[in-house]
Amino acid sequence: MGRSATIALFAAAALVLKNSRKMKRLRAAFPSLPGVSAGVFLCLIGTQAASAQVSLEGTWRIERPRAVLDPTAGAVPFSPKARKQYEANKRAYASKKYDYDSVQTLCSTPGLPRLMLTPDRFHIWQRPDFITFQFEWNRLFFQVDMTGRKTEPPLVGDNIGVSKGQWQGDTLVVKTDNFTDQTLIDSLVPHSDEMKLTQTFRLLDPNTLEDRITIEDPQTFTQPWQAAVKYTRQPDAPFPEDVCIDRRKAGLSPLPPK
Amino acid sequence: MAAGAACLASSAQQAAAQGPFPPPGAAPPGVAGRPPGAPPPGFAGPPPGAAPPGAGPPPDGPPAGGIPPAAFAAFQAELAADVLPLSGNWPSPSPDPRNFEGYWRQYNILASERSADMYGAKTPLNEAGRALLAKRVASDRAGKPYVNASAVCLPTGQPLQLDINLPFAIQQNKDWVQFLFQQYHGVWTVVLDPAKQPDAGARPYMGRSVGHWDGDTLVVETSGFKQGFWLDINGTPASADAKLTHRIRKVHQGSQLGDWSLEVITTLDDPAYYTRPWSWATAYVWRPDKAPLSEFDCEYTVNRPDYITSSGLVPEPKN
Repeated sequence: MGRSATIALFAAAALVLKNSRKMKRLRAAFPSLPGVSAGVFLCLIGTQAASAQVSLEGTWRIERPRAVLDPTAGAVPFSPKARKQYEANKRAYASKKYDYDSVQTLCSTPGLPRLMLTPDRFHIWQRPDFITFQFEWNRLFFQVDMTGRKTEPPLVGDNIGVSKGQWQGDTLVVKTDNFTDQTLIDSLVPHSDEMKLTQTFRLLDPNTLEDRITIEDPQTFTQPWQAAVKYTRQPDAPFPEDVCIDRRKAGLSPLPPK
Repeated sequence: MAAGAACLASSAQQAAAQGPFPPPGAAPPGVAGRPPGAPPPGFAGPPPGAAPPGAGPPPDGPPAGGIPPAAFAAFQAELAADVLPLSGNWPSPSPDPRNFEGYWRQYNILASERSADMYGAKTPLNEAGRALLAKRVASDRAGKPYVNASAVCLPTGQPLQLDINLPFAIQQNKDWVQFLFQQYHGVWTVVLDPAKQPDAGARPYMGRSVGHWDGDTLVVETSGFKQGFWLDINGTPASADAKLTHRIRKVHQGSQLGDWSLEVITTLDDPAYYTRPWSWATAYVWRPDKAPLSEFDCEYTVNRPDYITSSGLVPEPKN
């Protein structure tokens, strides 16, 4: 490509970008830029695209605590077998017989997405390679691998699964699989070890974090379904030591009050 | 963790860093790298009357009972073979000496009993301490080991948690340093501003930890434990009123990625069981390949009604 053609291409690209949202944000961030050349603009845009993930770091708490994760639209599309299990769980829950729920009976790790429903706080440590969700409840945490590195799946699933993430613009997309079938989606809804979970996190404003959850599990549901949860930013602070086992021994609910 | 080409070691660098793993019980790099007899940097020195400084013996061999020696040796060999893989663009620790963030793993091979301090002097147990340790060892040898925190998935206290060979992560911000351990999903929170103490007025299993910087060494003082705790597998004791001081610093003894370590000097002040404060040194190697930390759902196992009886454990007598 000749020099004049290169300059023309840069200029055309700059014109296209001139009124784009990203360009407007750049201009807002760097008010002294209008006189800068198109090439420098392009360079800045490229740099921003590579490193401009928003920061989700901080301490958060669910906006509306809930025991049940309601779908964004319609009802949970249970398979016939899963519906039977769900109805049985509902009856057991109503009569406070929690044998179906190892979180209630054993303080076992709730897994995802249930952990994201805890009424207690959680802290996000956002680092380039791994994003850590640290929960106040029972000192649990899970980590999202942002490296893009290929890894061998575990020999058996985990309650918390294996989470890999990437940024799509200002949205953090976390895909989790390799679950067990030993946990629940919320306090009632079962799932199989074939569940695949997609969570997309984005800031609605500096103090509100949204998690849009998509659940795929052909063993349990006739189609994928979605839910959404919001979190409110809390004063940043470390958590006190929380020991579920002690609450259980004291005859209290292992789960925090709602 | 830092990213980018400048922060990534080349394969050749990593290959060079992968020397033979030190033999079990070898002194940690932060200790071995000093001139013979020199105390670890940042350590104030031995208390009056202490034995002369030295590398200090490794922790004793296999635990008192339970694990057959051959199985313990196989376990040690397995741990020794577990090194940072040659391939992989692993990140380096932060160049900021006060930033400990990243993934670390115990360098020494699981202490069964910490029978000497870092200067080689015998652990200064008093009469009560000796009696309690002897009772724990005897119960173990009799095939009836006492229940301790680690056996029932409760927070173990810093010494045992830090001795486990599974990895841990450190995250930090201006207000606190957060240790996240894979084993027992343990958490150690060190606040840098006492006003930020989340357990103020409480006595957590892990005590209340407040840290400050002494140069590039993080000095952490911990007290106010909920209960006494075990320092090691055999049950070397610490009381609920013990005071722990950890001096933690990042050390790079060499030019390779594998030369990074985290040195921890622990001092225990506990008149209930010891005649004087005493110290030991441990070190942790840089292991970015251990991320992400795996799930550790010990509650699932230990909270079953018949766990204590079916596991052969017995509750420890109160006195």
